[in-house]
This record gives sequence, structure tokens and C-alpha cells, in this order.
Amino acid sequence: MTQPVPVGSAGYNIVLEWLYREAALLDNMDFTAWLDLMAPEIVYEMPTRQSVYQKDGEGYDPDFGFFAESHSSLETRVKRLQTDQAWAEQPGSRTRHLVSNLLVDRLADGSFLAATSFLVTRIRSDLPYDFFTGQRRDVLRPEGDGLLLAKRTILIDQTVLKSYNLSIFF
Amino acid sequence: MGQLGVTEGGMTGTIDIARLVDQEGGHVARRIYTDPEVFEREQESLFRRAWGFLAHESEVPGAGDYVERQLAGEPVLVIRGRDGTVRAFLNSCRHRGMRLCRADRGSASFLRCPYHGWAYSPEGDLVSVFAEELYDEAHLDKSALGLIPVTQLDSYKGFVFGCWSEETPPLPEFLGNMRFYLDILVARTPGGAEMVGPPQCWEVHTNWKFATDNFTGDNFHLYTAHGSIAELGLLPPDPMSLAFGNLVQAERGHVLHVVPGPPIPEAEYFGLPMELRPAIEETLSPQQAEIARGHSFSVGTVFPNLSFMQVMVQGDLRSPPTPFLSFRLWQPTGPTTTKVWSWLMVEKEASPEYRKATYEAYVRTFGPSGIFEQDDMENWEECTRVNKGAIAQRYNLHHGMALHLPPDTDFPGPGTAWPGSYGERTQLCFYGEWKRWLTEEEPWA
Amino acid sequence: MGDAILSAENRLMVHVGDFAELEEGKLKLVRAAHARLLVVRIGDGVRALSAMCTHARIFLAPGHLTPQGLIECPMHGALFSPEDGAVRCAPATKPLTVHEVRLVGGGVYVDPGPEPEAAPDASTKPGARPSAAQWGNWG
Repeated sequence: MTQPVPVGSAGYNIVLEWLYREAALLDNMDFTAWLDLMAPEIVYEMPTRQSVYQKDGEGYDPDFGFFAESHSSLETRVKRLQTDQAWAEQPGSRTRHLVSNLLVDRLADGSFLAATSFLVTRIRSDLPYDFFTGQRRDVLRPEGDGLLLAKRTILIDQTVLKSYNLSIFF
Repeated sequence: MGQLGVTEGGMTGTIDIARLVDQEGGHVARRIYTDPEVFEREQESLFRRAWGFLAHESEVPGAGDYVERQLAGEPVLVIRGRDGTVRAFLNSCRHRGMRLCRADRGSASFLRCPYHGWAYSPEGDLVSVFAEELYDEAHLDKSALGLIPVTQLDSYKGFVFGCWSEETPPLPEFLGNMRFYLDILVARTPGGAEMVGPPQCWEVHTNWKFATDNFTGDNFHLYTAHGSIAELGLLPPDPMSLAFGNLVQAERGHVLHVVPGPPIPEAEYFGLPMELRPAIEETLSPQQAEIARGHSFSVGTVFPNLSFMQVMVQGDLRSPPTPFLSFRLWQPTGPTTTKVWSWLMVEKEASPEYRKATYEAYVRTFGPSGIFEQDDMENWEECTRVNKGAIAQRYNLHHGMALHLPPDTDFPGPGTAWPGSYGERTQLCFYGEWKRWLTEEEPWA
Repeated sequence: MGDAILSAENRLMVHVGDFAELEEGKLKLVRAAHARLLVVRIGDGVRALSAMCTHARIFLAPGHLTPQGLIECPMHGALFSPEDGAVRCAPATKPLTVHEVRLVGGGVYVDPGPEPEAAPDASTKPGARPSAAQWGNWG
């Protein structure tokens, strides 16, 4: 059972601010602080998508994706970025996470369901921009004074990725 | 040099292809990875003549199921008929050429063209034409207007291959000894391997041969390209620990490496689960089983552009080394652009636990977000950027490692094997075959 | 051949093949005088239906019934019952005409039905005009 959390309400603003601060951490490459926002039970996934006729649904594959992460694997990714040898991110990608269209619902256990649209740009060196758009469906659960990300499903709009890697977080 | 002209108006170009690769000395001209004329000649003489991978039978399980793939860059529909047979056609209506199926995958009882409504059965026959009463017999023979089939079609252990040329020898002959090694990867249990999910697809600014160069068995980039992984302790500490095993030329341009892991039972049989191992021993021949038992890793390429990797990796710092099997199609989309198709495969008999473990290990380490593969893509993009230059192209690339070593005559598999898996021998075998296809009328002779 | 076989509506029935040739569940396209018909064997019986979809007047295709045992139009996917021609799925709204079938001496005979008002290629006769019915409610 979910209850809508109206735009502009106290609960909505708490979630909105959390998402903005999270985006800022990623764009500032503060991955250690970003990792601290992940719940120990985090499920972080990005299903692959195929172009299918409408009668066949949206084309996402629930069992196969571009990310299938746990806290441990996210931690491994962050540690890797902190070595000097993660060449795909040396020099680091300059990202801009534009997060919008937030809609929030509340679960009985106090967790928030947050759906956002995103536009993430990424530039490296003097290469053209990579653009990624899509939707994120998050479960944010209360922990102490704040919230932790318990689940993120990233529904990307691209079927064939127009970038040579996904070395950034969404 | 050799004459091309295998199609009407066949190209002879201005570049002397034969001089671009020196197998003896181990030199490769940079321009093979960047030149538009080389690319066009590859399309004509290699991709329109060689057998190319289309789809795995497990991707079209039911009658009417189809996927859209490509062969030499032209759209191909791979579709299972109501008679159970998998066929492949140019994805083009015979009327105005319209792309008939415009989805990546689907299922249809009839293939209906959205332009004028011509409809085809899943077997490729033209069954319905709009306003048929306005044609006389002389101007409409439906039986001659079925979908254009891929010229030759065959499958090996569920892998459907197509070929646009009638003259190319049949698939078994084309694959030759590579079949022995493919069995070890995809037909090692009674059920064999099947695709898990759809392919991951992404685009890279690199030439397709840069990818095959890595996947012919480049084992010695790991400690630098994947240095971050080594630093995390996810690779064995000694950089020479992975130098063992063999580089193998199975047949012509079909090449691979096989690498042993540590001397513990878990690392045998490529690290596959214990419960699958008795079936592997029973299903494979003694020589194939010996190779499976003795190795943990194998990476290679089915000429020209289908590669595979059977490796054990830790998907994260807490997970144990876990095997996965991935196949890649490096589709050339331009002289310096490639569309990568990457599939994960697993045995039909695999337990749900193993399926989950192998999937996580694969997605976390390879694929576009993989903590290994991200860095390979970076390297290929940047090499390509520099190799385009005219000054850069005055200097050849260097492929000289381990070329002085004689073959390992004790190796149990067919073809030629050399001792040790650090070397550049297999790349040169690949380029040698590549040269033959671009310069000879019958490169298979 | 013997005496002419007449249908219940007193039309000459046409021999379109032998019962032994008909495979269960397969649609055979036949010409009977002016008519194009689909003939299908169901159990020990045979049905013959008009082979023109009632939606957009596309000729239905020979071949297989669907896995549910229905006739599918290749153009827009309308579904019809082979038993009685009833529409089972849009976009068709009118049923297929069922034609009388007689089995005589192992042969399958069908009633071609009345001559149509206008030939399918009526549009090609110089000076011909469409009927009001063809334009329906347009305008």
C-alpha cells in the first residue's frame, strides 16, 4: 500500500534534497561519500532494453542488465576508482546529473518510493558529449536522521548504448 | 598481387593489402585499423564471403519468434517457422524494399509490410498482396517473390551462421578444427549452453580488428590495462602467473588461448560448478575433457569477428572467483566504429544459484559497465584516435612477443599450439588469414 | 463424372479436390467458378469459406490455422472461426460466408455462391464509379 506524498510537502522536500545532494556528490566525484548513502542491502540495477512493438511491452529485460550491483560490488567500484589505474576514469569523466520530474509515494514501513527522470551528460577529454536519459525508481528508507538508498532501478532510454562504456554512476 | 572482383564490379583498390602485415617480422600497419578503402574491401571480400554469426537458436524458441540481426551490415531477420526450422532472410519486403520487422525481437504469425501490406509467412513465403485482383499472372508470381534468403545458412551447436556467398565452403569446413574448441565451451554437457537474456549492445570508436586483436588471446594486457583490478588484489599477485598455457591456431584465422589456473580442484574445468563436471567428462572426448580439466581461462576468436571468453573473475571484493562464458560479435559499422554485441551463456543444466552467480560475475566485470571492460574500451578508443594520423601511420605497430618459440607438440588439441599464453603469435595468424581473404579468389583453398 | 451435383440453392457444385488430400488443420485455397474459397478439414467434415477477409477485402492465405484453430487474415490480423466463419477478433466485424460442401464418392464439392454484384476489378472498367456503399459514412 502506498500513499502519494504531495509535491512541496515536507516529506517531498526531504526526498528532493536527498536526491540533489546525491547528484552533487557524483558530479563532484566524491564517491566515498556517495557510497555512504547506499544501504547495506542495496540492489542497484539497470536492465537492458530492446526496441519492441508495443504489444510486447517496454522492452526491458528483468533478468539481464548493464548493472546488477550489491553494496559490496559498489564498494569495489569505488575502491577501483581510487586506485590510480582506473584508466577509463583517469582523467575522470565530467558528469552532470540533471534529476527532475520527482514523484514520491510512501510505503507503510516509512520508506519512500521516488521516481525521477534524469539527463546525465558525460564528457571526457575533448570528446563529444555522451547523453543518457531515462527514469530512476528508488526506494529510500529511513536510517537515523536520514535516508539510505535501498534499491535503484535505472530504466535507460537507449537500447544500443551510444557510449563506449558506463564508467559512471546513475 | 591477388585479384579481387568476387562480385560484379568487384573492387581492386589502390592499397597493397599484402604489404600491410608482416607475419615473419611481427609488424602491422596502423592503417588497417583506420583506412576507408580497407574497410570497403573488407566488406566486399571478407564480410560478404565469410560465414558470420547471426543468432543462437535459444533466442528464437517458438514458431514465429524472430530477432533482427545483420550480416555484412545488412539487416537480417532470423525467424523460426511453424515447422520448427530456423531461417534467415534479408529484412526487406520484395515490393519497395521496406524493412519488414522494425523491432529488435518479436513474434509474428505473419510478417506484414507496413507500406502496402504485402504479407509473408514465417517460412518466408509471400502469401498475401493487396488488391491482388489488379494483377495478371504475368505480373505477379507470388512463389517467386518470397523473402530473400541468406545464401547459405547452417548452425553449429545452436549457433546459427549465415553466408552471402555460394562459393564459400560449407560451415563445417569453414570452422574446421575450431569445432573441437567450441565444443569445449558450448557443448560440454548434454543440454549444452544457451544464451542468457538478450545481447548487450554498445558502440565504440574503434576498428573491429582492434577488438579481435585483444580477443585472439591477448593475455598480457591484464596487469596494466586492468591494473586497478590487480591493485585491489583481484588478480594473482605475480604478473607472470597468467603466462602459462598455450596459444593455439585451431585452423587458419580461428585462434585462442588456454590458460591454467592455480593447482586446486576449484580451478579445474574453467571453475565450473562441481555438479556439472561429471557430465563434462562424459560428454566431451578424452582430449577435449583433458583441456577442460587443465585450464581455467580461454579467450579466442572464430574468424572473422565472433569472439569468446571463458574466464573466472571476482565480481567484487567479497565474491569468490566465478566463471562466465561470453560471446561477442564485433560488427564493423565504419573504418573506426564498431557495434559490440555481447552475450552471456550458461549451461541449460545450470542451477539457479549458479545462473545468478555467473550473471553477477559477468555484468560486474565485463559488458560496458564492467570494471575490467571499461578500461579496454578506453584503450581501444584512444589507440584509434592516434592511429588515424598520417605521421603516426608512417610507423608500424609491433607484434613481436614469443614469435621465436617453436610449437608445443605435446598439446592435446588439433591445430598448432605454442607454449605459454603471453605472445603475439595468434594475432599474426589472424591477420595472415585476413590478408588472404582480401587478396585471394579462394582464400579457403 | 456422372450427374451434376446441385447445391441446396440449385447451383452447380464444383469439384475442388479429394477428401483424402486434405490435411487436418490446413487451409487449402481453391477456385470454384467465380469464387475463391478456403477449404479446411475439421475431423471427418470439411468446411468451405469465402477466402476474402470482410474487413479490407484482402484474400486470405492458404496454410495453417492458428494454434487456437482459427483463420487469420495476413493483412491486419482479423480472426475467423473455420466452423462457421464467425469473427473472433477485430478489425473484421462481418463473418466470412460459409459455402455448402458435399462429399460425393471421396470428392469434395463446393457451392460457389451467387455471382457477385461487382467484379473485384470493377474499378478498371472505363467510366466505372464506386458505389455509395463503398464510401460508407465518409463526408
